[in-house]
Parts: sequence; C-alpha cells; structure tokens
Amino acid sequence: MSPATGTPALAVSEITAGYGPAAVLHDLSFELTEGEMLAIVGPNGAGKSTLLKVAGGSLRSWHGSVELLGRPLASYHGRELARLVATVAQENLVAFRFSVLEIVLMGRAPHLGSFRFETDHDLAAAHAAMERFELLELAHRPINELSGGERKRVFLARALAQEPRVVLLDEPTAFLDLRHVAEILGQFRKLCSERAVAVAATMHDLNAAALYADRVLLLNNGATVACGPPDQVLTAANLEQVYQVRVHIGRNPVTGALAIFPGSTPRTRDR
Amino acid sequence: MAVTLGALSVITIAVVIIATAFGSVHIDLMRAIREPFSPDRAILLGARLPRVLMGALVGAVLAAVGAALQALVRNPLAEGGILGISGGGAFGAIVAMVLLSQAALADVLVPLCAFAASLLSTAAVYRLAQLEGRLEPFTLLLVGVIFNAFWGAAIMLVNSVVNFYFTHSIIFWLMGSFEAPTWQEVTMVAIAAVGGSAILFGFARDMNLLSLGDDDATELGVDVARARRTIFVVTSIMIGAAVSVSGIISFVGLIVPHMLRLALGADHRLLLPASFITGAAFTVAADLVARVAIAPAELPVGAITALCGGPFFVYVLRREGRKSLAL
Repeated sequence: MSPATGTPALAVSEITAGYGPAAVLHDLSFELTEGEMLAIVGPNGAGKSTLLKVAGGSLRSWHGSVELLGRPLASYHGRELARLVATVAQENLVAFRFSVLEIVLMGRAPHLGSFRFETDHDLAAAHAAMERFELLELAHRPINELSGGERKRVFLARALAQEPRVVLLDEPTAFLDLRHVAEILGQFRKLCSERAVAVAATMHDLNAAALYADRVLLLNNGATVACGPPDQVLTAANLEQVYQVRVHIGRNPVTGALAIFPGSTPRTRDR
Repeated sequence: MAVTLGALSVITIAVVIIATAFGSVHIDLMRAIREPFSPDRAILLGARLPRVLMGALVGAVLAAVGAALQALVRNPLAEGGILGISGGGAFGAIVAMVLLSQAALADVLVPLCAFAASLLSTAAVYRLAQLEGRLEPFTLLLVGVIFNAFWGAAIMLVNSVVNFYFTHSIIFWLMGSFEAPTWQEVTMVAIAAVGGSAILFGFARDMNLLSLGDDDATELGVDVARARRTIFVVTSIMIGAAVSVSGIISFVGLIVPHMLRLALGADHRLLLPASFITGAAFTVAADLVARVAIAPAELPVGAITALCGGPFFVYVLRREGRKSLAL
C-alpha cells in the first residue's frame, strides 16, 4: 500500500474551543492525510491536548467544522466514531486492577455488540498489538503495578487493537526511555505506511518530531504558527518566537537529520 | 466464567439450605416437606423461608449495587449506604411511619415513602455532585458521605421528638433486620433485584470502560452521560426496594465486591453476577448469626454486617491509599 494516498482523513477548519468562557483554540485549521504522521508541537498550554479532544470526540463544546473521512464529525455516533478514531490520553490511570490483556481488549469494545464477549478475532488483534509493543510477557499483570512507561505502552497497544483509521496521541513518548521512544514512534510510522493510518501526536521532543513526522504543526496560544515539513516549520525564527529561547538548528552529523539545540532564554543572554 | 458463577451458586444454595434448617426454634426440614400440616411446615413457610429468601435477595441487591456504584464513581469505597441512598430511604420510611401510623394503608405507604425518599436523595446527590455539567466521581462520593451523615442526624432528630413507642421501629430501620417479612414483600424485592440486576449486567462492559475515565470511555464509544444516569437510577430503585423492607444494612456492598475483585479480577461482566450471588450467601450467613447468636432474642443483622464492615472499610482505605501513593 502506498504510504500517503493524499486523501484527507481529518479536516479541521476554523475551530474555536475551550473550557468555560476562555477559548483555548482560536480559528485553528489543519488537515491530516491518510498514511501521514503529523507532530503537533508548541509550548505548554498552547492547546495541543484540547485539539486532540475535539478531533477525538470527547470535547463537544466547540465551533467550526471538523470532517472525518469526508463526513462531519457530529454525524458519527459514539461507537461508530470509536471504530475509526483511537485516542491515547496523556495520563493513563485505571481505577481497578484490570490486567494488561483486559485493557488492550477494551480497544475492541467499539467493534462488539453490547452483550457480546470478545471473539478469537478480537483476541488475535489484542495479541498482535501487544506483540508490537513487547507486552506479551506482561499480559496478565495488573495495570496498576506497571511503571509509567509500561502503562503508556499498554494504552498505545489498546489504540492499535482498536484498528482505527486515525490515531490521536497525546504525548505518547512522555514517560518512555530512549529505546522505547524510537520503538514506538517507529511502530506508528510503520502503521502509517502499512495500513495508511493517519497519526497525529503531540510532542515536546522537537528532535523526535523532526525525525519521525511527515509534517509538523506548530501551535502557540491556541493558533497555528506554521504547518508543513519539519525543516520548514522547525526554524530558528519560528521556535524563538514561540518558545522564547535561543535555538540553534543544525544537522545530525551522522544521519543528516534536522537537529534542534535549545539555548538560553533571551533575558539570561542579555544579562 | 460459567464455572466460577456455578461454583458460587452452589455455595450460596448450600448456605440458604443451612440457614433454613437452623434458627431459634428447631425444625425438621424433611418433616416439613413430607407432612403438609406439621408445625415444622408452618414455621418453614410462614417465617423461616421468607426470612432467608429476603436476606438472600437484599444481600444480592446490596452487593450488585455496590459493585455498580464503585464502577460509577471509580472508587472501591462507594456503596449505597456511603452514598446516602439507604439513609434517605430509611428517613422516608421513618417519617412515614410516624406520621401515617394511623392511616389505613400504612403497610403500603411506608415502603413507598422509603422508595421515594431514596430516589429523591439520589437525585439530590447526583445534582449537587455535578460541576459545569460534568459529574466528578470524587465529588459524588463526598456529597454522598455528607448526605449519609445528614440523614443519620435527621433520623436521630425524629427519634428524639417522637413517642417512645416508635423507638423500636426506628432502631429497626437504622440497624436493618429481616424480621418477619411477608411474601408480598419478598416478591417486591425479588422483582427489583432480578429486573434491576439484569439492566446493570447490560452495562457491565460500559462499567469496565468507565474505569479508564470519562474521556477514554467516550473515545471507546460509551455514551457516558446515559450510562451514568441509567446506572444511578436503577441502583437507587434497587436500594429503595431493599431499604423499604429491611432498613439500612451497611457494608455488604463494600465487602463482597472487594473480596471478589481480589479473587476474580475487575471485569464487571463477571464481577456483577458474582457479587449478586455471593452477596446473597454473605447476608444470609450474617442473618443466621443474628438469629442464633443470642437465641431466642436476636441481634440486628445490620449491626453484624457493620461490625465486620467497619474494620474492613479502614483496611481498604489504607490499602488503596498506599497504592495511590505508589502510582
């Protein structure tokens, strides 16, 4: 299957959204194409998580238009939407002692009738997802006893077991060690190219964004600053404007990949 | 899963048979079955059996409702008593009893008022726990605890101003008892227990998903507001039915689901029916102790469950507290 087919999976235009009276997003627009990996970057409070909640259907109070696979988001009902879009939140807390396997199987819920138990096909999907994220050995461990990074991988596997067309990840690499960052972003890249899944992930690691994403959406104060290929968006001028720190852009001497080196804040430098 | 539920059912049936055979008065079960006009049969059908069945049904209700409410508020400390639902029902029953004691239909009106009051109490707790249109599970638990204390105080207030004659009945509602239920009452609770639990079982997978939080549940296709509303209404109807015939029997809804969760895991598709079955056995056993411990007098069954439950509650609280620190 060709990596990027060019069809928009998700088209967000002129979204204004927020909690209570203060808007977090202002007239924000972007498109997510099938088979594409988009990194959403920006400072804390820029509106990254809110944007994912709008697109994932869990935040309902917004104005503007969101189209999923050519149809307005509001025209999908809950389970129908859940079969197409998988979201992994920043925090992954579970109230009771579910096992890893049970959590991953919950990703199959939108595919099941309300009184049905999981079939062999559902178990196979969960098994494949756990295999991808090296979770088979943990399958029967209680989720509450895992480390933050392990728990994150369980929830990423749940999203995979959901077999969605669009995946929305909020800080997927926040608690992960170096190897698992590479592992997980690599797995989602593979998902993009193998199954034409569209992936949007918020990130703070700009180097990882530059390395893995096809395009980068840079947000500040709930509005788009720039959107495009990493080397056009992650420029010293853009990043200094948004993050208020000196930034040096270079290349990885071995791979030639874009490399971002943060420096001091302008104020410290002036002193 | 079928094996587990089958084994639990066998244990429960055994407990029910033992509880039917023993009591303050000795009866011969075989004789009661063989001889239609024996005193053994009269005691069996007139007193022993309705009482044991009532204990089983109320216990099943309390435990299944406990498991459901715990899923609803994502906290293993929730229960009909702690959320103020039982207290509201008991208050309604007591006020009705005091005001309507001369009324012709007092036998019907008192349970009805218990029922209505537990629903009203639930509705108030539900309303007050909503902040900006979202139901915060932790707020719900706190509001429930406050309501529970409030109803307790209101009941004591009524107790201090009414005729001494009512005091025994008020203690009955406060401590809970299966003393002398009628077959009509057994039938009423049976309908609420079976009908209500059937609806709750239908939400078992939604309860699993709600354990992940509202946003995750929504993103996995659960209509969270609808699920929450339905579970809350159904559980308060079930509690209302139980309280209206047996008063406040606390902690069954806490102990039973918690033990089962440790033994069987957290999946509500197994936990709910298992709680229903085991709650029946637990309560029938507690009532057996209440009946025979100081026979021919008897202890309030609610006192026995509370005596087991108080220390248990503290144990769960400390255990959960340590775990949340470790997260």
